[in-house]
Amino acid sequence: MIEALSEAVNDILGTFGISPKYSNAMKLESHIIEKSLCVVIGVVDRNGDKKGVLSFEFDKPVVLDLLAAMVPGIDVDVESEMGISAISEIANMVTGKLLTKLGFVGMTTPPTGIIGQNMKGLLNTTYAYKITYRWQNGSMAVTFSLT
Amino acid sequence: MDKQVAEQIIRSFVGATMNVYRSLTNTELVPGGIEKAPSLLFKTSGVVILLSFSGAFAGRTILATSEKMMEFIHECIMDEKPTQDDLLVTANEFGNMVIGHAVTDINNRFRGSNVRPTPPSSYIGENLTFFNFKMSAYNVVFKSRHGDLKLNVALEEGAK
Amino acid sequence: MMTKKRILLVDDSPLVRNLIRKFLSKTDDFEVVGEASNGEEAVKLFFQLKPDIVIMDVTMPVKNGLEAAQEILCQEPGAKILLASAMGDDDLLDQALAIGIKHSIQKPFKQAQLIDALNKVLEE
Repeated sequence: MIEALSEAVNDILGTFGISPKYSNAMKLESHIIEKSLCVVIGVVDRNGDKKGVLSFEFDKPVVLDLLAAMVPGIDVDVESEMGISAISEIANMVTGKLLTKLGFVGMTTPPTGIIGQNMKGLLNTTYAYKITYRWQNGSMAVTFSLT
Repeated sequence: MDKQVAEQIIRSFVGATMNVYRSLTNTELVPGGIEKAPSLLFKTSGVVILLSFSGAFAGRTILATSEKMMEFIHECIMDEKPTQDDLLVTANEFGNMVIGHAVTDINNRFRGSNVRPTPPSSYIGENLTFFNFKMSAYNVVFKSRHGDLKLNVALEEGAK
Repeated sequence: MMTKKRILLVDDSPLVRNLIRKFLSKTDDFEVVGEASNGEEAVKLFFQLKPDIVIMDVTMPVKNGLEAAQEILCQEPGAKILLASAMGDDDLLDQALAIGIKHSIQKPFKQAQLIDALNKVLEE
């Protein structure tokens, strides 16, 4: 699971010419998020038997770098609709890649972008796999849980 | 999406929310009318439950309320005062029951639509903003003795 | 004095388990003898405790309720299982029937609904 997730993220970041300097992976008891900027996508198979959540948490410097790669030459506010739309698109791409690598035949939900202060979220009560990437004085964490 | 279809989906969520709240708390939620949301951005502070679903109809539903109201729901179930983490778990389970009821109703109304929920998620924080794109959103506000609960349903344009 | 019927509670939500435990503690007919938070634990505890009825959630980590029920019924065809799920659509009920589960209840439920459902399972 971690390998497929890592490959999916690296594939997509690579298309934008981004190579994170550092990454580490861990297994969590439950799927929680704590950063103030994130995108959430749900996945479910056609029978509804297997269902899960992908979350993408971002620090602002990392988002600025992604935006610069996606829409070069255009100044985009990280917390604007355009900014959130762009990172939602990245989240969608990673999700698609991951499901293909896992051979998961199913449906995804529309991505939801979330910004908040002092925010904490509980996305799934089952264990989750989290990979954190660091670059540009910030980090991006991708977490996947599947019941 | 056809306006009548959207309304039926929203009514499924309205009914589910009222039924689940009544079952757990023995008190009533009184719904207001369905109103088209002015924007796809949903802003709130407090506790938010995000319910996403896909199938012939795809979208997401937000239930937003105060920490105080979620504490009330928690105490009805657990007979104890909750921590913040407890509130997230209670909100998660509340959301699970609402989406279960709503999706059951939608699949019964629209046979063959195979709408499936994904795991509910719950959030606590201030100045929370939820962004969605290429969807139409609708609001319903419920009133109760213990506070207001806002329902915001966003549906993807075009059935799959 | 009539012996209380022994219940094994299976649900990954501690809230739901607490709610059911609360309901059953108010009756003279049922007592909770064990609790499991996933299907794998459920199967293990079933054969350890041999309860009269299992109240089984569907969506759980490690092993889901339908898989656990199937495993139990394979070895113990007379096992009495009440499926409890937030979903109540025909697909799920068909899947349950195919495995041999004839009774289900949709969450959340009132105490009276739960007791009624448990009595129907016992009448089987």
